[in-house]
Amino acid sequence: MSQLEPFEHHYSKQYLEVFGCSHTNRHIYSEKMICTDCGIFLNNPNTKVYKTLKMKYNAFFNPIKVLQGMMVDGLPNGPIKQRQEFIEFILQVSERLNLSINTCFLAINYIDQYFNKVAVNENQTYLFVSTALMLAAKAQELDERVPFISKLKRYASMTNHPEISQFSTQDFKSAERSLIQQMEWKLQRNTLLDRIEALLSFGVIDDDDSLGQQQQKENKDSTHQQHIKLRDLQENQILQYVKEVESKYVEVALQIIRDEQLYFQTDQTILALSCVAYLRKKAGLLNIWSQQLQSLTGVGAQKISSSVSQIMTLIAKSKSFKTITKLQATPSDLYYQQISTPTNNTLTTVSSNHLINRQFQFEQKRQSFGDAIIQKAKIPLLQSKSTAHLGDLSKQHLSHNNVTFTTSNNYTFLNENTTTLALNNYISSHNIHPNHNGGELDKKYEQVHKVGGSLFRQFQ
Amino acid sequence: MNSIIQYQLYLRIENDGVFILSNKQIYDYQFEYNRIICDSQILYQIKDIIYYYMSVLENVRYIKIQKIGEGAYGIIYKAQDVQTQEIVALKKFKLSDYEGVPSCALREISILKQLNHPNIIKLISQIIINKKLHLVMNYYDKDLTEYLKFYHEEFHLKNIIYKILLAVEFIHSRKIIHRDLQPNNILVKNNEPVIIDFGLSRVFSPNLTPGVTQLWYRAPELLQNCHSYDYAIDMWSLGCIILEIALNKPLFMGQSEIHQLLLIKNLIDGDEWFKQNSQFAKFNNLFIDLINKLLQIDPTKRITSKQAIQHPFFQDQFAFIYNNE
Repeated sequence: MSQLEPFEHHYSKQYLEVFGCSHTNRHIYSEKMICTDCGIFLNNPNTKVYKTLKMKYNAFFNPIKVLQGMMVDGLPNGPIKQRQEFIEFILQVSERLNLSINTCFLAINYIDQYFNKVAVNENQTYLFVSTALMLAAKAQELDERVPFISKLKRYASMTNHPEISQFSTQDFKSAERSLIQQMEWKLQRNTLLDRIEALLSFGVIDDDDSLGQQQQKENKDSTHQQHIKLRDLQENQILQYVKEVESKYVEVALQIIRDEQLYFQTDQTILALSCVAYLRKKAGLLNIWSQQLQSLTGVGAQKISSSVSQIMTLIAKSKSFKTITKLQATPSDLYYQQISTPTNNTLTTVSSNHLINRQFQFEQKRQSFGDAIIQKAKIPLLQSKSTAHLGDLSKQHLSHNNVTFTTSNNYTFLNENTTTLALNNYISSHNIHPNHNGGELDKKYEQVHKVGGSLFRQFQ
Repeated sequence: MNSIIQYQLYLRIENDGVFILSNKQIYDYQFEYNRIICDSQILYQIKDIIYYYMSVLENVRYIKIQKIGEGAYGIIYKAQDVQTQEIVALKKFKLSDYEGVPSCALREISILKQLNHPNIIKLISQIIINKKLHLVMNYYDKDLTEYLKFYHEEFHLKNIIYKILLAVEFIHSRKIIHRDLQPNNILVKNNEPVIIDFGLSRVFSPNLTPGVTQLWYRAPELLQNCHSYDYAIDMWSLGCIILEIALNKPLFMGQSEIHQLLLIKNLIDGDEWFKQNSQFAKFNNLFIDLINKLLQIDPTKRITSKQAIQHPFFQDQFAFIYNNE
């Protein structure tokens, strides 16, 4: 265990290929060693830390300070009436308007505060909710993505709330003014999602983490659980766990922000930390907290354990509700069975890719929650790309491209005809997303619940 | 006097902003939400009327005196606060109000509210005048371009460079990119610089619009239409500005994006570009080193604002821009 090798041997060529950065340029900020290229936190010279390029941040400035600024303690305002409907509405409209999921979280934050302070006339509530979404877009989206009031009106009234089309531009403007004044122009905020992203950017998995054997190999007589350290695994096996964490955080954050009890009664910092711990557990790690996280945040495992179990109960609840309403063999289940076959492919994350809006440094077009919907039109492209990944495992270090269907080099993948039967099945399962938006969001969440559920069963 | 003013008050309601004195319309004012705006010529003449209003309505606040500048997003006026007699700058957003509050205004205000630094403009308040959003800020009468028209002691110049870097480091460390650093956006008062105009700034995100910063100060990666740049674009602008302070003229005066790139490529050629150029011969070696590190074509090689304030040029108190021989 006591490998006192220098870093350079630690982060081998293989590591570079799989995770995209070998952390050669380091800088010490606030007594913590940070890779200036990707922002990973290298706590202990004897352990390797893992994250993919998806979570890359250049650390020109002390990222620890940024983190401290973000992790201010506090409870959000709320809860408010009809909150679930508002959230659903925000998600639907933002999807149509091509806005990112971060913007949705910001808008939810605005309405929580606004409706908590101001009593809004009942027939005007959705005017304010849609205006909050526009404000959030104005605060952080690219200018060309900010919806005009006319566009906002058109898209917002295409939901269950056609009454929005009755409001005039002036109504929107006065709603906007009222929102801004109530929030005292403080529109740049750190949402729960931002906090989780900030934490993930430091790398939350290292090779000192352990996992149980039977989860790895589905061994039938695994009565005595064998602990394995991640350092005993191959790089691309570890990638599977890293990706599991980095692809599920949006869904978990969405579930939490929807749950009034948990969201409004837990300190935001603790909640973000618990999310990370939960994601680790969900990915299959045995220790929910590690030395790495302890020294990054200064928070011990005992502080978060109660909220982690709350998150677990929450996600279990939503899962059991869904299984009652749905048949067992949905296409998404089939898909997950296939990938859990012994091949060490790591595509567990694909089906949730459309939820992910984290974009990359080199990407030409911002990936957003809504982009994925547009990409539905390009579905053959997506499929052949995934094919290439399954067929050629050596390309896995490229698999962060999975979420960027937009660059021109996509077309190169079209020529690789490595389709397998399993893949065909996967394709058919993926086609359950209809091309129009109607029930799509619901389907998506069902899928999410399924995944959450099947993983959860293992813990019970 | 009293009866006249009551008459005016009555007319205000009738004609919305048109004052009538002795049955003759003499002045047009913009009048909205109990605030009066008028031109400087008539300011003196209507002073009494305004002060009367002040006693009646407490929030008659700002009187525009003259237009002092115009940017892409707004017009800046010099104005007086009638309550405190203080001279302030009013920034009026030009953009139409059809889409509610313009996103540039929204960002400028919410960003300025986070930034409290002696070398960054202070936002006093924001008000709505004549249905247009106005920002009220401290007033400074000189920008860096005008300041450089006069001779200044070298230690003042060095102090200005250092303070600008401090302010930029402060901005960057809050994850904000200014994106419009240029001498016109740096005001100087008592040899202390103040950075203004955050209309283009935004919180760092991995994907941004390339068409920002005034052409002469635009970084090469922006000229090449790159969408994923970072804080380094501000550092390039600073390199241009610092050299402009030393040379007393803008460094690259391109007429188009291509021309600008060409000028940059002509000047910066290889690692030793500053040695081949006679206009840099009189400069201190440490200063040249700082400039060289700021004006790197490759944004990843450019120094950050944090490294720049720790540069030896600022550590050595005897190092000035020019060699003293």
